Amino acid sequence: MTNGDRVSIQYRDFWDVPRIFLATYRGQLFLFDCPFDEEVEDYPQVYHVFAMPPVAEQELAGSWVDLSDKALSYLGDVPLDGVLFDPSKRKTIDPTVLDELMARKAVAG
Amino acid sequence: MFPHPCGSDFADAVKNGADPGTVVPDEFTVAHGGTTPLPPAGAKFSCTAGPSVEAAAAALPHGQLRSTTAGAIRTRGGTVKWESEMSRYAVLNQQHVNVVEVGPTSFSELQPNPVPRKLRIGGNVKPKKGGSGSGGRQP
Repeated sequence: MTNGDRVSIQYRDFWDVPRIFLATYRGQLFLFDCPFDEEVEDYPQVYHVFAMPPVAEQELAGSWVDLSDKALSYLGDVPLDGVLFDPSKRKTIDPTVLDELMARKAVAG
Repeated sequence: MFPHPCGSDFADAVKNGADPGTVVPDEFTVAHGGTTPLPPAGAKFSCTAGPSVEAAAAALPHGQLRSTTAGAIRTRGGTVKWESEMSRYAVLNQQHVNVVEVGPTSFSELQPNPVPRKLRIGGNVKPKKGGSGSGGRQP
């Protein structure tokens, strides 16, 4: 879903920024995941990004821990500061990072 | 141990009309988890609140934290605004607050989280197989 020139997100695990969120852009659902690292007891500074199949709202009502297990493909890592959020950091992102990920996927075939 | 009852007290108070910007008492501890530098003055960042360092520290998963009080932040012109957040495990953290500081920080230097990991938020969740911890298929 787009919101003007920006892309709406659904998120969980907010700590300074959403540590896991979903965004639909040009018909593709993306998962950005920055899971807490239990070994160092801190969050890493990158998102793992995945292309996702459609996920039912009912499924999103529960835990998101296993969401990445449902991914169609892994698209790459993006640094946290590579995602430009709205001022609330909870509603939308700038689509530039999604364009870059789609281009990366196209090049990789 | 997470959660501290103060979280549901905050939620009830706000539901009944209290201002999220003042619902956390000045004497309460505010803790920021993580080893990255604190954001610059004027930037909003995540913290947890509780009546003691332990109560605030249990509401964040991090192994290290910085702490201050809500009153110290406000005295310097900053803000402490309550806003609950849902974890990836679908656990509601009602001790989460958004903090904005003005001028020099009132937060302490980094200190170890005094609460054992298993008693913090998310500490009772079994790590995923094959992952480094709590979730996400590793690329």
